[in-house]
Amino acid sequence: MNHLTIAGTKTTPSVMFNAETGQLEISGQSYPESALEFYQPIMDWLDAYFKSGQGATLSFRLQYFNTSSSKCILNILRMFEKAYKEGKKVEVKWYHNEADEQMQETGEEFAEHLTLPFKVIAYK
Amino acid sequence: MNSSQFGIQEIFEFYQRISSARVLMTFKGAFSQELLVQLGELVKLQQGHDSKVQKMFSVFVEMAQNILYYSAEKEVRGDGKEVGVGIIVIRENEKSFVITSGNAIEREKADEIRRYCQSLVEMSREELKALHQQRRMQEPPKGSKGAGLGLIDMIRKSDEKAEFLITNISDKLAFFILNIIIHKTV
Repeated sequence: MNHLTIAGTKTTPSVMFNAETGQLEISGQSYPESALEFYQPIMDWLDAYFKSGQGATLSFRLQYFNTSSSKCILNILRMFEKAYKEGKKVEVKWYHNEADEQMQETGEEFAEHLTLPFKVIAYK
Repeated sequence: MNSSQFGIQEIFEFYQRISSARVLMTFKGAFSQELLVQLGELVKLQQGHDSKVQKMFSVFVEMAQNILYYSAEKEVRGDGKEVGVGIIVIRENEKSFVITSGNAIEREKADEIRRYCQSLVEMSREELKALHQQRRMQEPPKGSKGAGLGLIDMIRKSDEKAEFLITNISDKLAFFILNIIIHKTV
């Protein structure tokens, strides 16, 4: 399976999904005109990836996302939850700047509502 | 309205008026995604605590995307793309930034939007937070291009009670104004 690499822009995050190691990273900012249009190929890739039976670690390093992106992000996290329930080894690491309470709170909220290993990690 | 009713003298008065109202920036017109990105960069340069300026930036993005998606006044660009028309004004006073959006809505939707906004502005912080969390975990409402979370998110971010106004402009259209206040310091 091919890796998924999407270069970041001002309004869309950088995406680096390694199909061999299962290390997946989303970083940057997310407020595209159409969040669904941006996130659909990522969800399609994940769907195919999890069908291969592998596990994955998602490192989430977004500094800002708008409300319509938040819905897509939740859908992605739900795919990880589903994979976890199927017995795959998955983990989500949600990084936030230690001063960014909003991002911390959002991470904690997702962690609380989803059933999978989910760490909220502060950085300086 | 033709341009002769807004002569060059009025432009000066307009300038003075928005200066005395301490308008930091404003844009009236078609809100494309490209414009949103450019103006967003200027919003980030406002003088205030980092977290407050970031808060204002995120309110600005939600306001601009609401206008782009939902304004009942549309403009077709040169490339054939349709975008919404509206206004965003950022003012300041000693303590706060005041960010206000205005755009046309369909009059038949006005009552529903009024009821929804009224219920949101009357909610406590805890109630807004609970609603935000509940809505985020649900499917988006019908007809929403985003998450149906924008209004809740903006009203939650307001450091003082958010205000809104809906006023009829014709048989078919009304005008919707939303006012959000962000303190400059934490």
